[in-house]
Formats: sequence, C-alpha cells, structure tokens
Amino acid sequence: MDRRVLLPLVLLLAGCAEEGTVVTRDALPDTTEGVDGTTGDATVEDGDSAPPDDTLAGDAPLAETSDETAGETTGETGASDAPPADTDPDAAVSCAPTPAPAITKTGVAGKFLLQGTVVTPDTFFVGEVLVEGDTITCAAASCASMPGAATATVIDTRGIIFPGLIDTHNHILFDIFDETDWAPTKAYGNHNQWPAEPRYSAMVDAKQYLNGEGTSTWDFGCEMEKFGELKGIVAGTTSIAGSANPANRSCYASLARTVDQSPNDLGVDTVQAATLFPTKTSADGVCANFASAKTTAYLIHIAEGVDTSALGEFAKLGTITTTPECLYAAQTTIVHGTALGDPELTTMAAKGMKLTWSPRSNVFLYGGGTDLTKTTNVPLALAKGINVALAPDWSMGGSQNLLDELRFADKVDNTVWGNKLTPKMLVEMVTTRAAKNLALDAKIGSLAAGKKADLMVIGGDASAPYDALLAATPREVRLVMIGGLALYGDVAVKAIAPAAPGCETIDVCCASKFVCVAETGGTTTNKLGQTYAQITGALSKALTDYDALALTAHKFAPLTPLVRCK
Amino acid sequence: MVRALLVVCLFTGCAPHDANAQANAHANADADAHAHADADADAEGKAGGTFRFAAATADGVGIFDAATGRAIVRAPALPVDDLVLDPERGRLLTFELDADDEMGRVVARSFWTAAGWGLGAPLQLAAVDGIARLLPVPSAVVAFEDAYGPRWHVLVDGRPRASLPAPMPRAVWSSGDQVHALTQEPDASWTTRSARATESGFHATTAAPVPGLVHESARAVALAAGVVAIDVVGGALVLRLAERTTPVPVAVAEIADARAISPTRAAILAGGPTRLIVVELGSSGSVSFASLRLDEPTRADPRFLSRALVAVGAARVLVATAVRVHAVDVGPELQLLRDASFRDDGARAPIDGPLR
Repeated sequence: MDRRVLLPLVLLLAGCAEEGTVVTRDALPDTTEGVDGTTGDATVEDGDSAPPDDTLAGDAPLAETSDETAGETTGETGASDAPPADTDPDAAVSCAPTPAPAITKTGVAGKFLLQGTVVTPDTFFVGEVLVEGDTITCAAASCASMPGAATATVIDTRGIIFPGLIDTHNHILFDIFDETDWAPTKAYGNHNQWPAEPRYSAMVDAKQYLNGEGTSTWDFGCEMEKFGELKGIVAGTTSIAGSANPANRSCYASLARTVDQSPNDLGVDTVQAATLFPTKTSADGVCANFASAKTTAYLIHIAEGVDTSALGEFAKLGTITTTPECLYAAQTTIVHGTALGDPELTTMAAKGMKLTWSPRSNVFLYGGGTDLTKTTNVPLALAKGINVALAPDWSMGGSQNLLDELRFADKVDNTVWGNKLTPKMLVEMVTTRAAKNLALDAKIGSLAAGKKADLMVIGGDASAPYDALLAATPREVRLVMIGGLALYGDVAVKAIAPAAPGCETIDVCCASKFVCVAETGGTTTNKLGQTYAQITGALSKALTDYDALALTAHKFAPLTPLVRCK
Repeated sequence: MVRALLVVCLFTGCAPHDANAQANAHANADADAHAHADADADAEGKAGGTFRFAAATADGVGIFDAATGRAIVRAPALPVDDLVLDPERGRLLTFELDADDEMGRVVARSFWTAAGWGLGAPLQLAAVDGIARLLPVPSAVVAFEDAYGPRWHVLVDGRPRASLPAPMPRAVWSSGDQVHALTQEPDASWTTRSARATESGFHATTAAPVPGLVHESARAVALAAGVVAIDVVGGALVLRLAERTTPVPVAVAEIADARAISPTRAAILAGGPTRLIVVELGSSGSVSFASLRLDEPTRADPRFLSRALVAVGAARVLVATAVRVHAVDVGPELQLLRDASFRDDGARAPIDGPLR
C-alpha cells in the first residue's frame, strides 16, 4: 500500500499555496478532510470514504515509524477531489514545515516513553514521561530505572510535553456555532440582557432542536458534544466541563474527559456545574451534596456582567440557602465573577472559594468586543490568594479553544494590568489551578507519577516553554494523549494511536494531523463508532436542514470550523 | 378585621373580558373535565365535596382528596419542580428535574384510567435544558423556559416552532388560547405580556408596562375588577391597580403565590414568616383581608411562577408549603379556619386543582 498521498490541493484551498507538505495516509479508514467540518467529498486517492456504519470496518494496521515525513515538502498534484479546508477567510498561517516527533522504538502496546522538555508545569526540564496504561508512572529527567520503560514505545517528541489542558467552563453544545452565528448588538450590563436578542434566541432554538430538546425528534447531541470535544482536543485540551444536557449520555465517554459527567473515565463524577442561579431547593441540595461529598466541586455562574444586578448575585448566593452562606465554600467556583469587587473577593478568599475567568467572552458581551477592561479583576483575586482558572466559555466571541483564550488573557493582562500575569501563571490556570477548581488535582492537571496520562506535546522554544504554549495553535500541537491513548497529533506518530477501528487524517492549518474519533463498541445508540467525517457531515446536514425549516430569518449553516488558522 | 380602601381599575392591556378568566377557567374545568362517577366515599360530605387536587410528594406525584387530604393514587417521579392539570386532555403535566437540577423534562400522566382515578405511565413530552413552568392551552402546552435565556415555547409533538424571547412569568392566567403573564424585564421593570398560543406558535403578542412594582416576587391575579398586582414594599403587602396602591398591613418578606378564589377574592401565600392572606375586593372599592400564620416554609423562588394554592370553590383554599398541604376554610366574613381533620398524606408544593 502506498502510504503517501500528496494533497497540495488541500493546501491551496487552505490558503497555503506557497508551500506544501506531505500528508501521510497509513491507517484505515483514511478520510482526509479540511478542518472546516465540510464533508461529502472527503475521499482521497482511491475513492475510499468513511464507511456509513457507526463502526469502522476492518483492522487498521499499525503503521511503521513515520519519521520519514519529517521536514519534507512537495508541490506535486494530488487527489482532485480533496475537500475544502479551513474556510476562515482571514486565515493566514505559515505552512513552513515544523520538526516532527518520531517513534524511535516500537514497544509493547499501552506503554509509551515520551522524551522532550517536560513541563510539570511547576517546573520544566529535559526528560521523560512514562505512560503505562492510562497512568503516568514516571515524569523525570530519566525514567530508565522504571521497569516499564524497557518495553515501552519510545517517542522523541522533539518538543515540549505539557499536562493536558483543562477547560473548566464551556457550554459545549454551543460550540457548533461561533460569532458569525450570533454576536451581541451592543455592550451589555449583565447576562440577563443579551438573551433577549432575536438572533440569539433563534440560535438557542436551533441548538435545542438539534439536541432533541423540546418536542424535537432530532438527536444530534452526541455529535454536538463530540465536535466540541474535538475543538478542545486539537488545542491540547484533555478535560472539559461542558455542561451538556441531557447529562451522562454514553457518547460523552469518548474523546476528551467530560469531567462534569459520569462517563469521565475517572470512576466517579463529583463535579456539579450550574448555568442558572440556583433555586432555594437546588441550592440546599448542593449544600447537602457538599456535606456528603457527593459534590466536591460546584461550578456556578455568578456575577457575570458589569452592573449592580450582576454584582448582587454574589450576595444572593449567600442568602439563597436555608443555612446561610453554605455555598460560600471551598467547593464552590464562581464562574465569571466579572462584577466582583474587593469585598466579594475578600469573602471568597476567606472561604476558600475559587474563580474561573473567561476574559474573551466577558469582553465580547460586556465590552463591545474591544473594551478589555470589562472582565474579572484577576490580579486582585490572585493577590487575595484565590485560585483562578482560565476557560473559553463557548465559541461565540469566546475563544475557539484554550490556546486562543490563553493568548487573549495575556493580551488583557498586558494591555490593562501591565503584565502582572506571567506566562507560567497563565499556563497554571489551564492545568494545575484548573484541576484544583474541579477538585481533581489528585488525578489530572500535572505531569507526575500516579496522574492520569493526559498530556499534550507542542513545538516551539523549549527554553521558554510557557511562552511557547501561549504562542501555540492547533498546528503546533504534535500529540494529545488522553488516558494513555493518542487521539490527535502529527501523522509522524500516528502509529502510536489506537489501531482499531482506525484514525482519520485531517489538515490543520497546513499541517497533516491524525485524529482518532471512532471507538470500538460503537452502536447506533451510543454513537461511539462515529468518525470525524460522519460527525461533521451529520452536523452540517442538520444545520442545513434546520435552516430549511425557515422558522425565522436567521440561518446557522455552515458548521463552524474546527480550527481557525489565523 | 382590618379593612382598607382600594380604587379599582385595570392595568393597561388587561381587557375586562379577561378579568374572570382564571376563575372561570377553573369553574369550567371543574364542571366539564370529568363526568365519571366518583367511587371515593371518603370525599363526600366534606367542605371540599368530591374535589381532588394533584400535588408533588417526597418522591413523586399524587392525586389527593380535597376534603380529607387522603392520597387517592401516587406515582413515582423525578423531583417535581412544576405541576399543572390539563383537564381537557385528562392528564397531569409535570416538569421534573434531573439530579443536578440543571435539566428537566415535561412529563404527562393520564389521571383517569379504566379503573377510575389513577396515574398512567409517564410520557415525556419535551426535554428542557434548564427550568420550565407549564401552562396547558387548548391546542398545545406552553412551556416558559429559562434555558440559556428565557423564552416561551409552544410544545407541539415533534414540530419545531420559533420561541418567543420573553422573561419567565411570575404569574400567568389564560382564557382560551390567550395567555397573559406578569413578567419582570432584564432592567427590573415590569410588564404584562399577552399572546395567542396556537399549534403554529405565538401570535399577536403585546406587552404593556406595569409601573410601580418593586419586589422581585411580585405576583398578579385576575379578578372581576381587573388584574391586581401583589407587591411587597418595605416588608409589607401592597396591592396595586394601575398606579394606585393599597397597603395591606401584614408583614411579609416575599410573595410565594397568588390565586383568584372567586371573582372578588384572592388568596396569597407569603413568606417570611409563612402566611396565607385572603383579600376581598368590595364593590365599593374597599379591600378586606385576613391572614393565617403557617408553620412551614414555602417552596417558591421569586423568579419563577409557583403553584402553591388551590381554590376549592370560594370557601376553601388548599395551601401547599415545602413539606405539606393545609386546607383552610374561608368564611363569609373572611374568617380563616384551618381544617384540623385534613390529613397530611405526603402532599406538598407544587399543587394544582381542583378536579372532580
């Protein structure tokens, strides 16, 4: 089998005409497509396309070492039916090849030794991370003394190894949209105001209907969830609190960890997320859950906005419960807290409460998209000792992914606060500090023996790894591993990905990446066998079909891109 | 007994022909819903006659006898956040929450079976990613949702309908397919909204400001004299008609629910402490009232419509708190007398009725 297919047309369509790169095609089924979610003509080379079944047929052969592709460029003409790639008209990305990781030794299944610059993230060093099963068993300058190291597959990452990023605040079912689907018509004062906009309401109607809410008989909730997870994974996000409903669907078990749902591969779900201000009954229930340890992390939207109405929610949170202030507790993370001032942050610090910051969404909704001051006073919160995480909220005006959000947070810090937040602090907000907000820091958020093998590898300047992460885009993400499974990365290391039912190859801003979406055991009910092509195809068609119902004048097709290359 | 004068007039946009809507709707429902013979001898001869009511229980829902409080039938359910009878279709509608209270489902159960009173198998009508309050109308069910923003939906099997962006109602009343609601806007002002709810969605929507309302728990009832808004100002109850206010000297912290119990009387459940207050509008514009202290807390959230009161005729009110239901008889002179024989058989808020 010819393992190489040259796809310069993909690159041309992606606005990357000046340079090409080699796309390796080595596992089945090999649907190659652009990252805009468009499907239907994703066949390459020989007319193969993703099988229509939920499960992929056949065993995918384990590829040989693919280091051969590193650094190669070509301009030859490839398949003529390549799909359209990233449709972002503003896309402007260098297509220069980047050093690719390499598999230097093939070992037994389920054991991987990753070599590179290890960012724990408290510190960084040149070293190794040993993964055995779903667990990290060593993160050190050398793991050679570990029994498992001798039989592990060795990957020279030629890059920087980070813990997988943690998204503590997302409304993941809305990630099929972006700001082209809705943007506020003005700067608002609080979160009760903008939902009255007709286009926003129409968009929520669309989300509801696709998700089977109301009396809808459609059900694309699994596809919506998985598309949102994929948006995170390509940016190195391995855990997401996505507030998806209905809760705990079996399809949520695939791809990224859905840390606020029971299918999170952590054995237990003790994260409770709330998008609505709680009723008294609900709030009392949360306090009871605190007492019984059923809930160890309560993520509650409070004080989202910049006016007194938003601010007043914090005081109400203290009085809504039968036992006053029982939600002023270390288990509680205030999501947004944009309106909070010194008194409220002082209370939060005294009670051990935590904070999740979503600056881009704040500025989008309350700062007219440009006023960077309309966000949470994070320097003050940090000065008081509050644990702060960073998260994108959703795709509409919020960042497309955590990497985008990191850059936006850095911009806010540099512009408004005079660079009080170091790159390391920002990285901690999406790793260790994020894990603390979820009360999952014993399991995820850092590279250490005993932690879940959730990690990412990026390229960049290894001597300044925190800065490198702030500069990274999905193109620079070379490998993403969740629970010891390589689910995304450079095709050069595709061989370490799960062999069955197989992975797909996609173009991400001129870089050829593998993505493993389908899982074995898929059924029409749990949809675990769906490929990326099937997911995006279904969502694209659903949005088009929904628009055709013409319930309002507002349209929501096409599907938002998986990645923006700008 | 304290009496106070009230100038009677109507809110803008609340037509006089709607004024009796709530009371008439109940009366009509009572008269038409079920001609079935009542086999429940326990219900006879009490103040409640053969009326029934539906209520939540600790672990589900039930149909109870309005005279004795005795449970007639129970059924398990997820935590019930709203409950309303749909007599024309012979079913009980509930909004039930999932474990984390962040998602719920609209469920219908037939309340009449071949064997008599019963609760049929639950049928999920809709899923809601948030909170909902329900109102049956002739052609559909209206769901007032707070799910990534407040919107009103017409639920029609399998068919998408554009929603109406509008705040969650604090009070609703209907006449046929005309739905009226008291809502608080995002800027904290108050509005009465009206719309015609049909299978194809909402039509002829109107909104009119209601000046002067203050408290976030404000409610409204439609009486013969017009729509009366019920407010809390300075810790005291206040009735409002248009721009005229009438203080009622009863200390309250918030309003949990308010219902018309006759064309001239309204029952009000207030919190802090829990009180049942019955007001009567006299033909001369006077207001009479009486109040009765109750021991248990209310189950209400000021932001959402709540169902804690059921009028069983003009002379008996069922009052649901967070933990039980009381029966209170209302005398001709507004004397309020708790029926000590009324059994605590597990019913609690929300409640709706009556049925017979």
